[in-house]
Amino acid sequence: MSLEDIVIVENLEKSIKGKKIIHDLSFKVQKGQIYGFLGPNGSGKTTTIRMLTGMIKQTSGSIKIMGYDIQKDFKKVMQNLSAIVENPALFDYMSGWDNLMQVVRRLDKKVEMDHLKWCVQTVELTDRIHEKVKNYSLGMKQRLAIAQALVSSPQIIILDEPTNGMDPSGIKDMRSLIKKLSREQQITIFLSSHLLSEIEHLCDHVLIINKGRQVVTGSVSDLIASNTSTYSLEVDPFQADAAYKILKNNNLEVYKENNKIIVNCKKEDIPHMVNFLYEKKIHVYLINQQDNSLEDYFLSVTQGVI
Amino acid sequence: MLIGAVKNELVKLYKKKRLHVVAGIIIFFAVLMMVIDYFDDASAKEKNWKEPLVTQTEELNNYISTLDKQSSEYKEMVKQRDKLEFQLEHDVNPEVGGAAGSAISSVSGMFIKIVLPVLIVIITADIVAGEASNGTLKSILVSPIGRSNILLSKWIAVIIVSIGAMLFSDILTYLSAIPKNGLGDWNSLIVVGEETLRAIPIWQYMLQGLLLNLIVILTLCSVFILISILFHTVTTSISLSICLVVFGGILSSLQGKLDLLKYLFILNLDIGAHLTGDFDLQNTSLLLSSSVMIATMIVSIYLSFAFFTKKDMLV
Repeated sequence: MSLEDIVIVENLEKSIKGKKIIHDLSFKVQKGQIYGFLGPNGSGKTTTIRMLTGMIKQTSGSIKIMGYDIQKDFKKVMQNLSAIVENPALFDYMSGWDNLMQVVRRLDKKVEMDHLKWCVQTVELTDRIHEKVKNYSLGMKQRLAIAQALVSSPQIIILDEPTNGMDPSGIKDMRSLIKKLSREQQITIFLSSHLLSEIEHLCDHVLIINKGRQVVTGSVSDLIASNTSTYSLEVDPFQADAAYKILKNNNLEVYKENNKIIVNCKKEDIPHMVNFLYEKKIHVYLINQQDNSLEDYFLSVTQGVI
Repeated sequence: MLIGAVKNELVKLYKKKRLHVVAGIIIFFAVLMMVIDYFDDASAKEKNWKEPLVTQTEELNNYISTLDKQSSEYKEMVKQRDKLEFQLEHDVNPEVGGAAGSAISSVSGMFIKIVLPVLIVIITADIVAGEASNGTLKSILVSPIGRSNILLSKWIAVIIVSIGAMLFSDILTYLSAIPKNGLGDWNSLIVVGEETLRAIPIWQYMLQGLLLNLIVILTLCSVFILISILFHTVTTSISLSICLVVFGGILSSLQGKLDLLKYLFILNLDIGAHLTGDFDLQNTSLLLSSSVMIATMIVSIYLSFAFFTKKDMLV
C-alpha cells in the first residue's frame, strides 16, 4: 500500500435479498485526485457510495480509507471523510447557518468561527446563509451541503451526482467549485456521475461501472488517447482520390465521402498523418472531429457491446 | 459530541415547532380543566366531611354482605370499605383542599393514560422515521458520531422534552387551581397502600407519583422510538403509536375477561394509581406493573439499538 492511496477497495461485493448487485469491485484513489465514478442510472454507483460511507455493509471484500477499515474504524474514517449521498439532505425548516451548526455540534473537535465563515464564503452563500433553506434553489442547497462537508476539514469528499437536476449555470458553478477545492485545498474528491462530459471536465481518473460490474479503470487522458475517433479531412478536391489512396495504403481505416476524407484513428495519429500527406504535396485545409469518441465508447461499454 | 448531538435534536424539535404544539395542547387542557372546575359546584367543600363517609361505609357494608366471598367484586368492595374506615379512624379528609389537592390528580388518571402518551407520540414518532423519509438521517449517519450515539442522543432529547411536558402540565394544573381553591397545604394527608393502608403527606405522594410517571415516560419514549425505527414513514409510525394508546384504553376494560392483558405495558400506564389502590386492572400490584413497564422499556431499547446500529440504511 502506498501512502498516497487514500481509498483502497478490494473485491467489493454486495447482495441484497440474495441478489448480487455489486460484483467484485476493486479500485484505488490517490491523494489529491478527482476520481470519477461513471455509470448509467441504476448501475450501482449509489450502492457503492453507501458502502464507502458505512451506511450499508458490504457482503464481502474490504474498504480501507486513509488506512482504516470502514466497518472496524468507522469513526476514524469519518473524521477524514465527508460525503453527500444522492441529493443534499438538509433541514429545510432551518436557516443555512443553523444547518451548518448541526454539523459543528456533531463533531468531536472545536470548529473556529473563521473556518465556518470560510466554508460559507467558499461556496458563495455568504449573502443568504441566514435565510431558511426551503427558499434555496437546488444549486444553493448543493453548495450548502458542500459547506457542511467542509466544516470538518476532511481529506476526502465523496460527491454523488453533484450536478444532477441543476441548470447550466448551476452546473458550471458547481464544477468550478469542485476544481477549486481540489486545487486550492488539495482535497481528494470521489465523484459519481452518469454524464461522461462531467467526468471529462473534472476528473483525472475514472472507473466505469455498469450493472454492478467494473468495466474500465484508468486515467481519463489515457482513455481519450486510446480511443479511435472519426475525423473528416478537407483537402483540395482534385487531390482527394490521391489522399484516399495514400492513407488506405498506410493501413488506416479510411473512406471517401464526396470530396472529404473520413478517417478512423487515434487523436495522436493526426499530426503524423497530416505531415505524411504534406510530404506527398497534399495540403490539409481542415480537420473536424465527427463524433465524441469517449461518449460512444461509454455508451458501448455500458450497453454491453464491448 | 453526544451533548452536541442531544442539543441538535432539541434544536430540531424547537425549529419544527414541535415544542410549541406540545405546550399548546397542555395549555389547552389546563384551561379546559379550569373552566370545568369553575362551573363544577359539586366540588364545593362541605365542612363536615365525616358524615357522608359514615353513611357510605354503612351502605358498602350492606352491599358486601350480599356478595359471594370468592368473587373479585367482594375483594374490591372490602378494599374500598377498609379505606373509608381508615380515613375516618385517622381523620384523613379524602378531599384534599386547595391547589395542592388539584395537583395530586395530575400524577394519575386521564393525563397519564391519554394526554401524555399522545404528547410523546407527537414528540417521538417522526424522530427517526421523519429523518429517514426526508433523507436528513443520512447526513447524520455519515459523520464521526456513530450510530449508537445518534440513537442515544435522540432518546435523551425525547426524554428531556417529555419530562418537561409532564412537569409543565403538573405545574400548570397547580397554578390554574389557585384562583378558585387557594393554595392548599402540601402537608395534608392522603391514604396510600395496596394491602396495608398508610397516611402520608401529599408532597411525598406527589414525589412517588412523579417517579412512577418517569418510568412511564421512559417506557413510552423507548417503545415509540422503536416503532419510529422499524417503520420508515412518518404516517405509519404515528398511526401505529396512536393506535397503541387507543387500544390500551379499550383493552383495559376487557382485562376482567382475559387476565393475561395485565402483562401489556400499554394497560399499565396509570401506574401511579397503584399508590392509592385505584388501579384499573385486577390481580396486579405496583411491583408487577413496574416490572412490566421496565421490562418493556429494556426490550424496546435493546431492539432499537440492535436494529439501528446493524441495519443497512437505504435512506
